[in-house]
Amino acid sequence: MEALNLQDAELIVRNMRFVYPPPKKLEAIKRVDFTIRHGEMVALIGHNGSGKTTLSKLISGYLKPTEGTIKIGGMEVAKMHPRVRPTVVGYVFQNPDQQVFKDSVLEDIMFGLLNLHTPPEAAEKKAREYMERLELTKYADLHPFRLGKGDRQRVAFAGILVMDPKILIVDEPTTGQDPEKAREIMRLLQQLNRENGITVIVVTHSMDLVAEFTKRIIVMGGGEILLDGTPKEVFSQPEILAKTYVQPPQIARLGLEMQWKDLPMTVDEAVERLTAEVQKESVR
Amino acid sequence: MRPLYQFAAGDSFIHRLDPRTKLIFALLYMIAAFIIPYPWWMFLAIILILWIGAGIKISDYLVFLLYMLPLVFTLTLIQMLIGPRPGITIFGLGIPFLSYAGWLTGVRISFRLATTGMGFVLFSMTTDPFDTGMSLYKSGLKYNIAYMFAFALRFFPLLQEELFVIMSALQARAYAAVGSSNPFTIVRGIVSSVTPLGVGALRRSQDIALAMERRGLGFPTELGTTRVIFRDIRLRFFDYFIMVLSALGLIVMILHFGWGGQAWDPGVWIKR
Amino acid sequence: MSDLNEVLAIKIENMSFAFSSASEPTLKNINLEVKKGELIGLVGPTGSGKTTLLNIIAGVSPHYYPGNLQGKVSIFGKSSLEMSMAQISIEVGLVMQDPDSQLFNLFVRDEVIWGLENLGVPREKIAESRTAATKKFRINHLLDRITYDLSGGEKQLTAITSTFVMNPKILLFDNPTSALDPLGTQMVFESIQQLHRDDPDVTIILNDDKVQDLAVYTERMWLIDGGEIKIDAKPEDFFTNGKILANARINMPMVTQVAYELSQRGLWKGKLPLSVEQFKHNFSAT
Repeated sequence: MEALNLQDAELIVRNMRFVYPPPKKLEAIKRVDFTIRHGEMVALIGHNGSGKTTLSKLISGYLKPTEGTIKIGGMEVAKMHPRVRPTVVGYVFQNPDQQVFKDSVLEDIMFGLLNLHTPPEAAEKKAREYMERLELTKYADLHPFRLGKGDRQRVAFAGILVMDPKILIVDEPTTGQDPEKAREIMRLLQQLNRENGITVIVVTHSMDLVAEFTKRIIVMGGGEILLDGTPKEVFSQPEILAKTYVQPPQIARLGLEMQWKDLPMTVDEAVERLTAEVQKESVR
Repeated sequence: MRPLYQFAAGDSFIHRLDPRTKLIFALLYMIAAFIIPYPWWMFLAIILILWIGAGIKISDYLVFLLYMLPLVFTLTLIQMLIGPRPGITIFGLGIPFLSYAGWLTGVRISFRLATTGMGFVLFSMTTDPFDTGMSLYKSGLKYNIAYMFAFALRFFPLLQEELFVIMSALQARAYAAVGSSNPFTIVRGIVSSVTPLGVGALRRSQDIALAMERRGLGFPTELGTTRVIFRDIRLRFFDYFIMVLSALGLIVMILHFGWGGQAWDPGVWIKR
Repeated sequence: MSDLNEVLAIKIENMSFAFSSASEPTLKNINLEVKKGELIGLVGPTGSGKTTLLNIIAGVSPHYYPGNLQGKVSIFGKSSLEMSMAQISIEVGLVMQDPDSQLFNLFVRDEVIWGLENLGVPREKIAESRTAATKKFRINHLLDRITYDLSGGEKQLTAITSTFVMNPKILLFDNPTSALDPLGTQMVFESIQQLHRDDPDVTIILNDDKVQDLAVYTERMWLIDGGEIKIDAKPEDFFTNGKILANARINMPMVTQVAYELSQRGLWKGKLPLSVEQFKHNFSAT
């Protein structure tokens, strides 16, 4: 019997392949092997149809591997009890409206805990804790649908986080958000990752934000992992990225164009580097 | 994932028939299944018609038939329990509390229902809902009603996809209903999905209504334009031929069997 | 001086607008003139009134979403308040954010001609227009596909084609790429650019968050913040307003921002670059 170790919820994917059942029969994941250590913040990128969403559904147990295994904390995700799985791996869907099940923000956030048979007082305490952290306290009694989109998304986050998952998978949280809202969401994920030690896997198309906020990027294309490394490593391979219709962020492309070895990931990095360069020139 | 009995695009003899022809054929066929004493032949025949005439195999709609199983099973069981004695005998073993006549009635009702379902499958899987809508419009229905009828069918897969995501989101919240085998729990799960599904549909329908107006749903009334129907919908020789043939077939059947004719005995499987 | 006599595609004078349900106006003191054939990029934070402005030009407000409109909005010299939304729809095409809400028919081939059917265009002309429009937007290979089976980018291109086929003189794009992946986004931007090149008479306003692309693709940019037009300039001048943009929390293209920061330190002279190529070119010049 496999024991579940939540202290070290390492994600290990071994020799995993996935084919959609008939009539689709599509080989969505060809064969992948990777490990994500507990506490990492990883971006999963690639064009639609590259396999990144399928992979995230496999990790969260919505789909079962056709071959190979996916283990978290030593236990196969596919074998976890449906009431245990949400406490190990949380999945936040893209559209917050599809995740509202109760009539007030507080009740909606408590919903998952009550399904886990947590006593109501403890559930409320925990829900209020997360409402405080995600700045939702003032909305406690409002219907979630009366909130703005950004706030609704934070309600969806809180509803998953109260169940204390060790791994949080977030599906395209920045799609359809303006750049500033998207940045706020990434900042929140980074904060959760740092303060709670929770593993964050974010599926996204926003390369600027990935470069700024994550330390590791897994690039999917044609059902395979094309690249896996730090943003600097990944974005220095524009030809491979083009296979999955991804372009490095503009700031990295500037570095590539200037033929710098160490690619800048933020505007500040580039400014500092150029300032130093110009000053060196003028001294001469 | 193909939603249940959704239009399967194709170019075949049946696909090319006018929707009105298929509608009349399917209706007469269903009536016939209730007249003929051996509806299983009607059931097998329509499966063949769909296969040969439209290239649609059983596997394409098997799920739909399987969904009918619990219903026909329950119906047959009830008939067997409440039907008149004598009881039935299986492999020489007498079971007096199960009615033999009830068994016959149950099997017949089951196949009649299944044939009705197949008539529905034949029509919906081979007919573009917009062809149906536009043919109804040509037969005098108001355009907006005819168009909305077709659009509703096209909207269905979107809703189904959305329901699927919502059910997954419920699962992410440790909700037991999803994947449960307890019908009571499943119903609770569907009830929980109604709000997000409804809100999603409502939000979307406002945008859709606006987008439709921009593209001219109201032009004929607002601007006085005369709408043109580009698709070529008309009754051809084969349409009339099939309508007449199926009407004749039904008349012959009624003359031969009357309303509810004598039974062929399906007791091959279960002896009295 | 034909320029002076030419009727403006869009003219907005002292316009302000408040929704019936709202106490505060969503837009105020708007004055804009758009010449025929311009390609304009529209940016601003969420809730600043971008969509409302496009909806007013398209006649959606106040005709469809009611509200109180002050001032004057003219489309090719005609006041939009004196026209119905249907009349404006013929002149002004509107492409919205979610392609799924803009496709109603089963097949692409039926979708793209639906507007023409409603307009009562003769059948031969419909066939002709369909061929031309689907070729232009390179979706002719999709004609026999079912609309909900398409990728996001293909869906949006179908929606654009379905609007364009009705031959509008003005085309408004309201967040056409925000629901799409990078490939879909690229498809849409390229089509808009091509449309602008091939049909120089069509006036285009593009509301999109991807400032980096607008800087390269458009010829004029508007910033709306708090319901007012704060900047109306060519892209190369638009980004010299660093403070106003920062107030509206609008990021410049990253290379523009690098040059802007350098210029603040006195290390960059001349025009701000809008693309990596321009940056490199201008940088080696200094």
